[in-house]
Amino acid sequence: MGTLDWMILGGTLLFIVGYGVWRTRGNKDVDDYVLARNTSRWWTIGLSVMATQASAITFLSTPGQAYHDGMGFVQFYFGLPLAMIVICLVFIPMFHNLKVYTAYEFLENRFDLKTRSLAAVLFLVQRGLAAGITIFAPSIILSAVLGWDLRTLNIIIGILVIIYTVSGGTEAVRVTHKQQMFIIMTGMFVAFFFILGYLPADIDFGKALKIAGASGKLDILDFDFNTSSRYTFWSGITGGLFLALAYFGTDQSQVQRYLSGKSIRESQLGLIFNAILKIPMQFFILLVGVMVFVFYQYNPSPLNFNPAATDAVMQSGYSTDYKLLQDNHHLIEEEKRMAQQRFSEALELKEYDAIIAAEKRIGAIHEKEKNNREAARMLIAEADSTVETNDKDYVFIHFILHNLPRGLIGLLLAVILSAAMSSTASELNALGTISALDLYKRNKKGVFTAEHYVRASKWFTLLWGAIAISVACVANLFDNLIQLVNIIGSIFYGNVLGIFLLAFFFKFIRGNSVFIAAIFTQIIVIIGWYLDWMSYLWLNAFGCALIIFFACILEGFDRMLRSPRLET
Amino acid sequence: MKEPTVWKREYTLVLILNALYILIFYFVMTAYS
Repeated sequence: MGTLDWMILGGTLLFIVGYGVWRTRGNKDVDDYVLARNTSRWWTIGLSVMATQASAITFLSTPGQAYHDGMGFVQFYFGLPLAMIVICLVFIPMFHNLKVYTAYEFLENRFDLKTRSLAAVLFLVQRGLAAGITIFAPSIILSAVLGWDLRTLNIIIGILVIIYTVSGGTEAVRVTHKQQMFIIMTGMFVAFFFILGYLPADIDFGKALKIAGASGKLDILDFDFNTSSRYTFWSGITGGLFLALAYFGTDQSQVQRYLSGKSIRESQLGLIFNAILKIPMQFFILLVGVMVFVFYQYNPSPLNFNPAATDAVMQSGYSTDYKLLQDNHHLIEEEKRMAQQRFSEALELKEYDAIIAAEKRIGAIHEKEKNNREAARMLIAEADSTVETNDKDYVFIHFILHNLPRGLIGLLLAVILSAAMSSTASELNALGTISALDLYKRNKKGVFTAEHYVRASKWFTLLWGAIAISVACVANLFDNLIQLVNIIGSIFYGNVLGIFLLAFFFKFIRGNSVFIAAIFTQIIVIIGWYLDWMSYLWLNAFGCALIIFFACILEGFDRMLRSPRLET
Repeated sequence: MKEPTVWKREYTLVLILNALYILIFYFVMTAYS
């Protein structure tokens, strides 16, 4: 990191915070603070929705995912456009017609106060933890590669977000999302063209794709019905649809983005914007990762991209064994460079037999490299069981720090921190709003002014910011916290989505049945997770189906008991 | 008052464009693999 990098990084982050505070000064009432006066146009909503979903880990992890496993991950997003259409058709008109501030307020209109409060509490538990991890996940990676203090980094990211989110509420989140998305996309495009520029002179973009394709990195579509494959066309269309419906339709951090729309039409167009651009955006980020892969076909790479993992094994009794694996890795890389050279020459001369022979050779070398890396991972795990051996999150940041020129490193770090801030801001904004409106305002007796509720929203946002920083600071005490938070999300998401589906599509069901069914479902889902009945991702579908089933049965019983008996 | 659910042309556009993306992915995969 040079002075120029620090200036670009610091300048970008301070500009975002300063702009957010300045643009939203003087916001006084709840409409201003929670719904940004309902003035958002469709492109602002679209960018804000995309910025909320794209966290720092998206830009750190996705290129690494493509580097190791190719571009198949894009299939995970195939259900998203369908979910956007369902939300435009059903969710948005309902929310707008009732003029609600939060998604859970709708549940009181449809069912009762206790169902609204239950859904709000489920959201607060899940999202409160997730906000901490949104800060922690990039911090752990940046602290490992840059040597920055983890706790300081957590506190800096958290405080920067708190300043403008508390000060300006939803409008501050909205206006800063535009800047953040601009920085993120500019940074990724510049990085992409720099990577292409770093490839050997005879390798153009088309040839780079051929090289990636020969190594299986362009196997984008998988129509296999095998459920053990994580990313297939079918799991993307079904599981992806389900997850996107739950996330965009019931999670207040997203709902609040489109509720700020000027009209139903603007909110719908905002989500359509996301439905059209999301898959190309993810495709592009994965393509960046594939180009990083091509770059490392001609340039040396570390045996494991996580420097903390390498340090751990080198300081242990396994250092000699690890050095042997490193020597082997260098030999494999040399062999790979020569094979790629032969492949490239054969492509140039259009010698098809030579192309097939070179492809086979490259495939065999990749297999050797994969086994060597796996052996290194096992050795690292032996040396220190607490260190992360899966290095996919570290691939892109390693490339940035070791190859990009001064100034661009600062810009790319600004991309990563902007993404962390954009997601965290939406989360804190939603947590503050839900606490103030769904719990505090709805349950506190007495009549208070609009300023009182804005003050309450600000205090709650500040409180949730402090909680998120605290969670981020203790997160490294737990081995698998990121997975734990995903599990917690899956435990609650299905149940909450089920409550909303019951509200929309099961008109005969009333509040008592839903409330009891939700409690039963939550208990059973937790037991199911504890006893490991299924992979945690399926808990979403299980929870949703279970609450709908229970609510129908309970409502049936209730009606049967209430209806007068027929005299015979 | 509940408004009827109205299918709009943007939704058709979303379906067509995303189907087109998948076709392009298929083309890229077969052309370069």
